[in-house]
Amino acid sequence: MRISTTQFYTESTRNMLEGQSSLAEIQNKIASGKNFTSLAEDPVGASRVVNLKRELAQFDIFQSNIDGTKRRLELEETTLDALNNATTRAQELIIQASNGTLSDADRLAISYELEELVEYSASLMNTRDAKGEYIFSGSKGTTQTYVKNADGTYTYQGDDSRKQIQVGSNQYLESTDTGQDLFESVPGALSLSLIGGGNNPQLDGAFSNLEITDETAFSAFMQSTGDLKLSINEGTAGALYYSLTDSAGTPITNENTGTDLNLTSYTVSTPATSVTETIAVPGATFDLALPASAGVSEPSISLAGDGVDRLSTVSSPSTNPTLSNSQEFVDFYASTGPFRISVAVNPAATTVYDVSILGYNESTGLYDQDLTAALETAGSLTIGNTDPLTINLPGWNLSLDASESFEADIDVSLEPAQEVTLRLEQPLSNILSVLSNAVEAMRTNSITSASDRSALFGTLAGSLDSLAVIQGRYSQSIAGLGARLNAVDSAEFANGDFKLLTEATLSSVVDLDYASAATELSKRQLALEAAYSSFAKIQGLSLFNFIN
Amino acid sequence: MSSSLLSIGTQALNANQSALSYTGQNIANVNTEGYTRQRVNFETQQPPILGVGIQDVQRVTDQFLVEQVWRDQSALSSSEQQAKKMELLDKLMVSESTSLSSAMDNYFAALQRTVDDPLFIGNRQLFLAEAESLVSTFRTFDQRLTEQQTAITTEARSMVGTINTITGSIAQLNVKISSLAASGQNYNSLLDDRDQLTKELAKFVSLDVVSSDGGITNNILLANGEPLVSSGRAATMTVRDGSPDPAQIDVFLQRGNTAAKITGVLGEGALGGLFTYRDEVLQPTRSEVGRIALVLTTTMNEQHRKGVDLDGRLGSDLFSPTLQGQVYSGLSNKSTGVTTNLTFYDVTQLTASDYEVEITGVDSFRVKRLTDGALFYSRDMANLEASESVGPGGAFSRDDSGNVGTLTLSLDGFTFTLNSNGKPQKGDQFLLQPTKNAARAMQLAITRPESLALASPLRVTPASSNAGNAELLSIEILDGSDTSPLRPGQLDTPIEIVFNALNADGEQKYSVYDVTDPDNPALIDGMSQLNYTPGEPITINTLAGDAIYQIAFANQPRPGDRFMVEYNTDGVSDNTNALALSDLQRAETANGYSYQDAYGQLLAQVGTKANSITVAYEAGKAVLSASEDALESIRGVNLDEEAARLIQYQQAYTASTRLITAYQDIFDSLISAVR
Repeated sequence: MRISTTQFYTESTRNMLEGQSSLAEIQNKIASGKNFTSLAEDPVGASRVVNLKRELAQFDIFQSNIDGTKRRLELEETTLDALNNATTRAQELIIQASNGTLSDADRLAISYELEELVEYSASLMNTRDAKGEYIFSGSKGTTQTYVKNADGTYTYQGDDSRKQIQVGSNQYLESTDTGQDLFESVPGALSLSLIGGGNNPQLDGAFSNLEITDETAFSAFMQSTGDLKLSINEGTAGALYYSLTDSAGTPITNENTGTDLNLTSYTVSTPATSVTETIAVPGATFDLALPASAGVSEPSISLAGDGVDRLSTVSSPSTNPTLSNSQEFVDFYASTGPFRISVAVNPAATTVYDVSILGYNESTGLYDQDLTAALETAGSLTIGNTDPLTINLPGWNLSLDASESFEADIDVSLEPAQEVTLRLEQPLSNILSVLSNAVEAMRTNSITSASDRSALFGTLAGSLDSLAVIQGRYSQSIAGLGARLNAVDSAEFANGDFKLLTEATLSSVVDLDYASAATELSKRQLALEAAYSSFAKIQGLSLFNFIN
Repeated sequence: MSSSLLSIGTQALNANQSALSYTGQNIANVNTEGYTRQRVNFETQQPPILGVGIQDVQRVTDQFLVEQVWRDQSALSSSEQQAKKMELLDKLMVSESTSLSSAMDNYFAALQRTVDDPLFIGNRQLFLAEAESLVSTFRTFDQRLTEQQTAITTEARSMVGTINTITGSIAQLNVKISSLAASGQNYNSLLDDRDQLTKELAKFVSLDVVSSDGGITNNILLANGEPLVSSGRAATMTVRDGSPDPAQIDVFLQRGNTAAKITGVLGEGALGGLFTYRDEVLQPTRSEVGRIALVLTTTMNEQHRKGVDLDGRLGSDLFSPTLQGQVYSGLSNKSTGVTTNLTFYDVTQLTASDYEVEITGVDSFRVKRLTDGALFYSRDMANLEASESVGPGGAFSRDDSGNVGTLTLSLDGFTFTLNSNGKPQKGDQFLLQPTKNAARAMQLAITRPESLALASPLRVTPASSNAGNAELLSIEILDGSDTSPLRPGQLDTPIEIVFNALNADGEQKYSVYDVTDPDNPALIDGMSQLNYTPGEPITINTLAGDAIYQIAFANQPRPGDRFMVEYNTDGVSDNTNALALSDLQRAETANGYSYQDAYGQLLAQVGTKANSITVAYEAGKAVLSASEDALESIRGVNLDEEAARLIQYQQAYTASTRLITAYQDIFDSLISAVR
């Protein structure tokens, strides 16, 4: 092929320039140690690098979370150990104080040391971490965990929320424990309390004299029934009924009488005072004071619709729209559900008074189930065809002004009674309060009689029982802490392994293979040198040199 | 005596002399760029006259190869331009300091520190600093891209200026060449000049050359046949602001009074390459970065609003929310009283595309998604008011009551509202850019570390007498908006969830009570004796029935177990919301991918494009040098060849002079013979 003179020079120059730039490129790679410095060189690799770096960043995060948690858990462990030791010492002191041969002064001396231990334990429970946060207060980190009351007992001020942190890509651990969980461990006395029905003054203090004969049986009973519900209904002529059911509505059996407490009647002897009924349940008995009137424990009627204006206030002001016998009505309402009384009065028509009862149909959302005929046949519905128009339903009578023609509806629904609940409670106490009580007891001066002595030793024995429970909880917690620390450790190891793998992968993508790069460098160097020397050799050749 | 020795000799002398001078011309111009060697062709004189004459001075070239070089030059210039522009984007994405993924890594690392200890102010301050840094990384990225866009505009303008100069010169050369050709003079060097100019022009645009008179006048056409140069006239290229988006400039060709838009038919060449880069790489990257920014800020804000800060208040927005996208009305739109709005109903469905809405009839319109060209017709769309959620086909509704008609269109995560006097006119066009400017508008809204809402607004306390092993599984706040009942002063109701005894069918039920007065729990309407399923969320509503939050329990409770849910007062060490915010790093929020995965995809796309451009560039260089070599081998001057020819013509010249000497001798002999 024919070559022009300029072509020769341009090609040689181009080759040399390319040789130089490729040499510079490999030199750049060797100097930086990176396989590629731009996306264009290796787009797939660059995208992998982004992902790998993100994973490495996450492993670093998990590691720092693990470190933080370890510190926290170890601090907890140390604190719990110290508390355990303090409790052991307290046990020794109390056993010592239970010795009958000690004098008042001796017991006083012991009480001082015990008081010191209480304050020491309180300060341990109020431990703060390096940043000043209370470690046992749950999520209330700025609130002091335990505060001393005027009577020497201590109250827990924190809550029960625990912090979760992330130690692995799908692994979360709880990094704190709350005082509620660790220290509020001494069960107090079982008690039943009455809540709700507060607007009926006769139900205040209605519940008393809880005597637990068999604690296990009683707790088992309460755990299967949940809260007990009390409801009072009024029947005709002021007859009163009460029901005691469990939280699903099943009536409780009074073991004293053997009856199911469902609409059981009771009579009030003197007006305005209550009647006390003793109820026996598995493992306990208690007194229930039943009020003289139903008050808000009774369900009430709620009326709506344009017929409400028509309710006569002249002839029966006291009965419209209250129930005369709530128990009957409740029974009746249970079968009909919400209903509508539809009234049409037309003196000119053949049927002057047209009353129908329409039940509420849930599927259509309308009052379209005509119950009138069925109720009349059953005798539940009586209509007096006079003015005022009277409509009698079981437990409820209403009368309407019927002096002129009208068409109106009254929608009836039953407002449930305000629930009266008997709730089982077992307040928890902590070691600080227990020991404070023991201190108080020890400081009682002049133990002279046998009853004083037995009272003191009884209190101390109770304290020892509580201490045993507390120590049991400590060991449980320390074991739990140990397990969690183990979990943290294994998370750390696993993360470490993953991190190593990721770093190796990243290195294989990003880092330069020096062996092959060095070989490439000498290869390109050779090529460039060859280009130089061949240019030198050829450039001098010209016919003009040979023509004179 | 026309064929006497003298005349033959003189002719030979002249012929060889001009051959020598053209050889000299070739040798002198050996280094002239674009020079085509010229060869003198001899021809014998027509009989009966003897002698030699110059047939023509041939320009030794191959027109096919010349045009081949022009085409290859256009291709190379296009790849070169794109590769150069791509370098900036490449560096932005790879470098640690500007990479969005490393900024997000740092942001989430700081967030995890607050998960570990949310109370410590130092952790909160660090997180705010990292958030600020993230914002500035996004904005810098977008800024660099915008700067590149401006640079492209400037370069395009200057290129167009250069193009106009070149086409003007070519037109003038056309005129000169035809006048020289008419007068029979040698115009070879002018042809060379014109070819060089054409090659320069080919660097900017793809062109076709058509000649109707055998190469005297070259008409230069663009790829679609629009004439740039027709004989002595050159059309002018101009750059105008784009429509509907003024920042997207367009190139127009002016011929007489009409101007045609030629942006799409520039083909290859540097100018075409600029626009290809702008439309295929730069703008989509900006939109994608905007989308990632939008999804990040919106999802972070939503979650942040569901938490409680150190002051006990429900969180406000963490980042200033990007509420609106950009809408451009077409310049030739005829509707009046037009106001437009572009908001978002679900950022997780957003794509990084721009959309074109065109009104196609009285009650119909068409939407085109520009990344993949997908078309959505109003006749196929659901009714927005009737449907609760928007399907993939989009939904719209129209409200023509009142003086101002409103068209509301929801598609792919955005809602476009168009208000106009009466109905919008047929033919009107609107360009929607939902995500393009989102990165630029990114801003951190919180400056006080105490205002970071890292705790849960609700605290769940199990009663101490609980005997079962039910435990709290999760609490999810459903409504974090400004009107949420959890905002202070609106909801102080603590509630208690009480588990009841097993009923006659053995089912576990629960009831929910309002315990504002702990001694008088009030049963909440509709929440009595509900079925308990472990793990299933229980929805707690306001009195009006709006859902506020959901709470779920695991395992089995015993009858009588209770859990109280109240406002998390003083719960400053709680990290529930911080954990939820941190979990967003892995959530698939950006249309099925997490934030960093979406960025990784963008990186891969840009990288692949950069790689293929680089490959095309290298290939283009090789192809161009091959065709240039082929051309040069035909038209280039070879000094050795010219040296040989020099000798050849010199000898011929010397021999010719001998003819004259011979003639002179003959004449002298004749004269002396006769005396």
